[in-house]
Amino acid sequence: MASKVSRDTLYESVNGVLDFSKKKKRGFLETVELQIGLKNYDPQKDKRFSGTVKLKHIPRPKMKVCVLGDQQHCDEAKANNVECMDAEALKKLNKNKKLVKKLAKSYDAFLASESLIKQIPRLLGPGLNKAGKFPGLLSHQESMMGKIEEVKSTIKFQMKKVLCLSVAVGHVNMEPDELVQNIHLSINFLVSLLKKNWQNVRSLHIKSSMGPPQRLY
Amino acid sequence: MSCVDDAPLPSSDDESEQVLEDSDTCTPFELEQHFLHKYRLFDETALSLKKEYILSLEKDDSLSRLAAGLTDTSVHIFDISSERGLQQLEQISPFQVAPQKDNPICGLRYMDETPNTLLIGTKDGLVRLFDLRTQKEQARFERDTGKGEQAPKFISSFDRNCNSRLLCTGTEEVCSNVYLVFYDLRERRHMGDYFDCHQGDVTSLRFHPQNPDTLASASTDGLINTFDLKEANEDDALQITINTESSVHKINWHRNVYDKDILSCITHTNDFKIYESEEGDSIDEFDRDKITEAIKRTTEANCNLIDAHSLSDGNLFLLTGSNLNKGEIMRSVKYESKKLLPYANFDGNKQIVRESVFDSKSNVLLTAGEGSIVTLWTAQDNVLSTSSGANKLKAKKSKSHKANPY
Repeated sequence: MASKVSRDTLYESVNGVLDFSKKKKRGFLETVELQIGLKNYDPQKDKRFSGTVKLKHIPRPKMKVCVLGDQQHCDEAKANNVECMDAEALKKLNKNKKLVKKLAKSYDAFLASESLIKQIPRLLGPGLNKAGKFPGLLSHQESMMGKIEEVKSTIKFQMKKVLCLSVAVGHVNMEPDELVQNIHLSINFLVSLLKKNWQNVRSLHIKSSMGPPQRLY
Repeated sequence: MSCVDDAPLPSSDDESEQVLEDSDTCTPFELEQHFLHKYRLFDETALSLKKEYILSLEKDDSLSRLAAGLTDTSVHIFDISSERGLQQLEQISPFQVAPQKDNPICGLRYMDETPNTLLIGTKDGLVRLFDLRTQKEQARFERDTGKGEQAPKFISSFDRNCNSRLLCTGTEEVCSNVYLVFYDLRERRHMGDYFDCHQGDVTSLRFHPQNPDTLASASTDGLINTFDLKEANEDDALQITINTESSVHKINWHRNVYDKDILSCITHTNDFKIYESEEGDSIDEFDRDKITEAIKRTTEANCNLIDAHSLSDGNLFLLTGSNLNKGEIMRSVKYESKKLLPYANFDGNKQIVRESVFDSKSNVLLTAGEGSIVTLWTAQDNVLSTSSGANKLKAKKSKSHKANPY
């Protein structure tokens, strides 16, 4: 898909963002965001702009994932230093809302084995739903570490009422190449969802959490 | 969840195209051979000269009436018949339905098996019961917000169950609060709410077509929940939760050839997923690129998914459109034997279609969308049944050429 943002502009802006972050070091790892401004789009009439996209490089390296696993998955998790819980451990929570809420808060995301995921409403009630942390499916057909990588690489986006959307595409300790790839992929994907593609894009910017926006388009 | 291939980055010398290249992946002859199910544009009507979209469409049980809701909050009622196609009967004006601006219709449902009363839901949280014979509002359903309550008010979906006793509305998300609000349609009172099962706007609510106690809900949080409403509270009512890992646009109930309940799901990123509803097992998943391939088009970025409907043979089909030009390309693919197979190509479509209703007995499809047009499609050699009995279908404007029998 042809892009209206050239390679040079991308690198220039990415370097601009990274340079600024290096000048003023912060006490936390700054996120790099892609901001997309839309035009000729009516949130009341046009199809919703919402979903998830898997990036090439992990944008949030500190993301904590917990595996709710069957015997096999728990063994694999332990061998790979991934935190896990089995059905017994979940039963011990006794569907206590406070404990389930605490569990939800302790991790950024969950993955669950097929046999376990069906039992979650019975074992835990809707607590994980409410927290927006219902587990993704971990099947035996795919690599567990691969799926964890996938979860860490996937970002959510949702346009609400204003014609502007912000998505986290990386962080300031990433290599310029990695940021460029993530940004390029995100732009292509998001634009492909718009009815008239590029004709619905008014502007594109990238910025670090504390830095000024750099215009891409 | 979508994974997109990197296209090579263009150099700064590249001239970008204004409009995406998009075409069929086969010749017109091959297209005819692939899409063997023939549909004919039987009738169509434009409802508005202004740029209003038709975003709600609902038929009555006997396929004798159609209700279409526009973005100007007007509702148009049509009679459907084999002789005259679509005949507009009445129009409920914006003022009657919702006097405020920016208060779009979020759904239409005929109250029961008769075409006399219509439930009209609007974003402000109200569902009005309209008697179409008297053109008057008979009842309204709204959740009482107590003093200082932080409960979300705006709704994005609603449905009523198959025995017309329960109404459920799904709210938008406000400060991490999302409600499913239940009303007793006969006693006309608010029954209670569920508030723990979703964390994003409830975009699709579907009561089971035969079981009055089964409800499925779907949201931008990517979850599809099913509930057994015979249970006393939300925790016990929640049966299964499916995580689509995306954002859900529409869900539908289907029954497969083994009489098992199936839930199909269209995401906001134009993927199609099918689940078995008892335990939430995934049956199949098709990403946007696979669907684009199945409808014989080259360009994924123009492919959009409209709806999924049940066929009388226990299979289902997915109706898809294209954003190219005015959205004329509209095709359906049938899900069968783990594949999406070309089904019908709708020649003569004139708009980006957003809503559709399908009657599997007569194979009649009605579509509506951004051109403000309602279109009635009939399958060739199929019968459009009316309340007075089956009538052989005649195309409205075609002439039959018969060889003279000399």
